[in-house]
Amino acid sequence: MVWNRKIAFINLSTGKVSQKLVSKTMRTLYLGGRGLNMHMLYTLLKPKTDPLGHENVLFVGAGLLGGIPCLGSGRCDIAAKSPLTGAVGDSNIGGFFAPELRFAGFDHLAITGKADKPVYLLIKNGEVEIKDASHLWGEDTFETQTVIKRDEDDQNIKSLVIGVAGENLVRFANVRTGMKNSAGRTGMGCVMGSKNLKAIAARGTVPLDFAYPDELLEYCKQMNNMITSTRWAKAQSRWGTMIIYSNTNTTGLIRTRNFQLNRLEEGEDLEPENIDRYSIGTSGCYGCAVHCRHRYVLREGPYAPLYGEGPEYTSLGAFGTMVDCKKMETILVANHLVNKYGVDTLETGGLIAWAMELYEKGILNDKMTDGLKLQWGDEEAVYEMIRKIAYRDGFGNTLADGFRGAIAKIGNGSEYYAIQIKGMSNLHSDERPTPSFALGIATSTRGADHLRSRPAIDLYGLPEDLLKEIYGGSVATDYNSYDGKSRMVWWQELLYAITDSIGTCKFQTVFCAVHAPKWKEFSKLIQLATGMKLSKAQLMDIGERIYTVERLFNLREGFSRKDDSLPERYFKEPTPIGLPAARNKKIDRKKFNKMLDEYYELHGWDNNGIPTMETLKKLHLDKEPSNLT
Amino acid sequence: MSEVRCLNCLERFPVAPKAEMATCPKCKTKYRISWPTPNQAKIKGLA
Repeated sequence: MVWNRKIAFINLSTGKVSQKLVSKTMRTLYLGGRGLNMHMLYTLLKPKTDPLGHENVLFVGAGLLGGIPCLGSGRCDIAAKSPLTGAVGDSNIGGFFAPELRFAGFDHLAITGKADKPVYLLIKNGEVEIKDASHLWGEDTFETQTVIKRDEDDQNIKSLVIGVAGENLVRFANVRTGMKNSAGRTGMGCVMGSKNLKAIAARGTVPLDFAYPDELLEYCKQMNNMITSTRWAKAQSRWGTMIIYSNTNTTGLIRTRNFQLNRLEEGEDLEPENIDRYSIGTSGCYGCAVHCRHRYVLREGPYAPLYGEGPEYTSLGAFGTMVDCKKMETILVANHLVNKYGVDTLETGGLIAWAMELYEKGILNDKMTDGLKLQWGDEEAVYEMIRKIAYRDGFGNTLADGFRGAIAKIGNGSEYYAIQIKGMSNLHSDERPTPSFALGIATSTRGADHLRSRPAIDLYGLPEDLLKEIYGGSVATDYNSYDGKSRMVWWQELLYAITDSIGTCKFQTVFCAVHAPKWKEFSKLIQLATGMKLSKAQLMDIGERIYTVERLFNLREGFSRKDDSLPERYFKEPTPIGLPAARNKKIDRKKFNKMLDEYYELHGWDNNGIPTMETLKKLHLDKEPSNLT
Repeated sequence: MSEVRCLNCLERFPVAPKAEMATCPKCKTKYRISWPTPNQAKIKGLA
């Protein structure tokens, strides 16, 4: 059966590899992907494990539905204790690697220890081989993939790789595959680097053996038709996730100059339509009918010729609005650089924008920045800082340790200007007008993060009866309101825990339209693919179990309610510009705390954010299993 | 006729085919318009 795939336990210190089947019991509790990764992270890691030590375990997990022909089912979840935050490290990557891992006979990898020289893993039809990667050390993320294909004489190999940032233990180094896809957040590339693990390559031909293949294929066609008929998907197919900029910059929901403004004035060149000047077409991930990534070419200018893919809305903000750069070319070059070096676009842009504000305020000076003038809108300074971070060169070495490390080194009131939660930078969105978004980034288990819960449909002004139908309780229509928004965040957290565990794309859920696939559709896909019957209630319980396990991990590492908050600026500085609904808005601390209380209650946690025994029993977490069979 | 949703008052309103500008009839906010497909308008930015 399709769920009957293996976990490979790989010790890079000893070279020992063992394999174990994933039992059906574990599937019904955690599905796969993020869910099973989180279970293993919690049960296999000792408390207070050094994130860069031999004992940290890197988990790679394909989703339970990885390989089905719809909903972008190529998602792969990569987890470990985060070297950036010390909390749950977890990042999700698209592309084609996860299905290939499944075709090679595995769903999960658990990698521990440290190799005594650079290595890569070759996973092929049930076998795991540890191979020398000395010749790959120092290569960028594009070249590394090319050389592995050449060395193995197989152009169909799919690889997860790190660049020089991972080798240099930049704490927010990412893991990459293909030209565009990144597991960007929480520093999983840094963990790979700490293990001397340059790449993981997969190739296989083991059939997936779906339970009801004909019915599954027909249902996947329905799903694809549903997704591609939405207004969101049509626009995304044309201009990618950059279309979000049209709404956020028009409204005033986008961080500009770090956190000083909430709209980029004269920012027309960053409008997504302008990617048409550089695009030579679009492409997609495995099982995706939307195709949201552009293949772009820069034919003129100092960085030409340059070929890249993307950029996402994330890079548009990181190297556009946040640093006050107003040219599309800047985004394309910076996007290419972070992809080449293998470093998270959001963390990099967030840190550079923060440094620019510190420089403006005199907290940083030329001596501290190696003479680099970190001025707003200076794209050359941005490119140079990306390079310096990746190579830990001079001031780049300070920023390469992330906000926590950099604040400790810089001091002098710099912390106030840092837009980070639990040590991780926030997306360039401005959540002051949207309490639901604000609560979501505060409670996210992996630090300031839009991908754990972002209830994008809060911006649609949907009628209350429809919101009640979706969320199962009262939610205010007004996105400025605090009423019911805790329910919205809680519900979205559970849903996204499921998408990350079945391995489908978040953009192909309620993010794009209210009628897009949710519990009912996921339930049917799971049944047709695996034969397992899981109701909506059971899926919600699984989502709750996964989120609670992540909470337990963070509690064990010393995180608590005080960490579920926002940077002080959210409470003190109102938004200066924007449309009326977004202007002069800040987060009300009292109302925020009330939302947080409600949110804990919905999860079944007490007022300190600690899961109650009743909740643990309900989720079968009171006697946490210590093995996987 | 394609519709867009006003980003100020959230009112949905129709946009004439191929139009490059549109004004929300309720709050009078003026927008620039683009067309991801020939039949689907989207807000590009403020006019």
